[in-house]
Amino acid sequence: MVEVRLEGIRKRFGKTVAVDGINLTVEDGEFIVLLGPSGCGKTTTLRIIAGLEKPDEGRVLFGGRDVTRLPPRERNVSMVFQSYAVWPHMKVFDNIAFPLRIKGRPEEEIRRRVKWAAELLGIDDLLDRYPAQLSGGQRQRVAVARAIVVEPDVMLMDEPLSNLDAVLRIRMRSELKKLQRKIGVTTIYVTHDQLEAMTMGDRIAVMNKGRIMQVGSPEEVYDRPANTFVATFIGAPQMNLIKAVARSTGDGVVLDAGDFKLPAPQGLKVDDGAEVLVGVRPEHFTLQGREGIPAIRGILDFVERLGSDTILHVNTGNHIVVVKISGDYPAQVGDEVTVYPRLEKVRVFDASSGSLIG
Amino acid sequence: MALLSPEVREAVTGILRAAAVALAVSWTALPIILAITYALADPNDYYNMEKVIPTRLTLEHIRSLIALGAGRAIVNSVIVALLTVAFSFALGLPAGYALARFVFPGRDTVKLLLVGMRMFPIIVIGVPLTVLYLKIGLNDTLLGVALAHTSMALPFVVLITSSIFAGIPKDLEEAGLIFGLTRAGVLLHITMPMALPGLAAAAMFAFLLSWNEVFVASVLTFNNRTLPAFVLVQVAAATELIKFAAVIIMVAPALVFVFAARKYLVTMWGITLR
Repeated sequence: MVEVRLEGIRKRFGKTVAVDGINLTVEDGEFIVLLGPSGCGKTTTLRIIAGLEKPDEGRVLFGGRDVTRLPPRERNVSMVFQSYAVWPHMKVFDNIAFPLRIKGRPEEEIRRRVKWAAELLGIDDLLDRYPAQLSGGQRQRVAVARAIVVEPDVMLMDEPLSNLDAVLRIRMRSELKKLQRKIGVTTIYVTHDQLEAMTMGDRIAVMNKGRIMQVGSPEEVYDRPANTFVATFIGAPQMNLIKAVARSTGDGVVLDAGDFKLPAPQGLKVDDGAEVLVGVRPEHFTLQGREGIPAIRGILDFVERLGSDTILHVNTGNHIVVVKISGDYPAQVGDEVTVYPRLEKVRVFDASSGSLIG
Repeated sequence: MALLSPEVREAVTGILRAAAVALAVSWTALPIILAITYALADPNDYYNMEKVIPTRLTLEHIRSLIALGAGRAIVNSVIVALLTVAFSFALGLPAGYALARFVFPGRDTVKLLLVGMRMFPIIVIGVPLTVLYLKIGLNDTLLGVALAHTSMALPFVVLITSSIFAGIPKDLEEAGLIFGLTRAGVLLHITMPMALPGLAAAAMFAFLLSWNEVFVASVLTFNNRTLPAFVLVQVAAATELIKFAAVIIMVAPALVFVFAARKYLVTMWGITLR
């Protein structure tokens, strides 16, 4: 188990820049998630760490050792592929045993370690089968067993759950996380699913267009997104971004959205008349007003009833504000509703750069 | 038709389908069956106007064919065919792998040229090749014929093997690299075992191509005839019964091949490898 450090990684495929200067340190034993939309460079970054791609610029360090020019086999990494990549011409036992056989371990040790890995993943009764005789979920467990059997320094996972059905995916999330904690291996996990990232990662690196937008714990990226990209990528439904103008008044700065006004967060430094985006998550509204909290009034445009929650689309005139209310809410489209934002959760972004300013 | 009951309609379709199958089968099978029957027929039965199917059988025609030198020709053909397989795989397999796995400038042009090579009429190449062979002393040698056959088989071998390799997911090879193999190791432990059935079919295809080829073999050899060249030259003037016997010797390997390989022939065209 080692610390993984990326220094100024850059990778181009023809004219497209896949990875555009990435610096990242993954601590020893940490579970870090590279999160981003497709084409953001997260898989390329993972493949560079694996050694399947060579970066055009920059260095990859495993515990201080420069591995940038080393082939995958000399890095002691293992990987779980999106397609599982379980070899169809080998039985499950041979698939899991393969990395050990290549390393020339004694047969007795191989049997013991394969048994250990197979039991850990609950596939010890499948060892005699061929992959074609397994379900997708079972094949995936084989891929994970093969990845942990060698006791790798770094475990890499490329969207390992995306080919599973919804129920199995949710179960495997917690299982993989528990497994990682048990064996304590440094893990780098690629996904485009923000829920997976939030539930599994010790830290999340949110990526877009080949760059890292923000690195932080799930709480940090959720609570203080560094920019509007992170703000809207994390959380469902998306964070509301409401165009407003900052106005200095006697009691501090007020954010004027036209249809309503909100007091700016404490210590917001912004020019008078500056254009900003006010970020409020749908779940950070209440229906009960309190002294001093501005009301947002509007007409109900659309209602999504999810059972556990109700999502209201409130048309305030110039804006559509999406509001998530816990439980059922007996309102109909066309009704007038009033909602109140939780002011301590309001974030402000610069309108032109999209960066968090308060 | 509307007046017929569903049962009758079903029976009629059944009969029509059976008839179509019978027609298709006899179209391919009948000539082979006839050739085999007459190859073994006693001349008296064969020339008897009242007998369609001979009842007395003999190996006499095959024996006289061998007396004419067919045995030697068969051995020559096998040697040439095996050399063709060896040469075309030694050159074609790496090319097929490269076309399937790597993106390089001119890849599509190379593929197109390979197909284009098949547009050359072999007759155009045959004569200059003979002249060239006479100059470098390859005329009338089995090696010379095998080289000519390799040039014919190579485009097929490249295209077929590349489609086989393309059918093997790249992830499976990359997993091999991750879990401790070198590039060569991946080829040996992962790619080859999975490609083997398809490659075997491609090898048999190259073998048969050489086995059946008559023009180049006839032009390039004089004493060292391969079987088709031998049949063309020696049997042209022989009796019909000996021609039938020659048909058997020519067709037998092809039949064995088709029966043994029909399962793999599907994978040869790169459908799936699972």
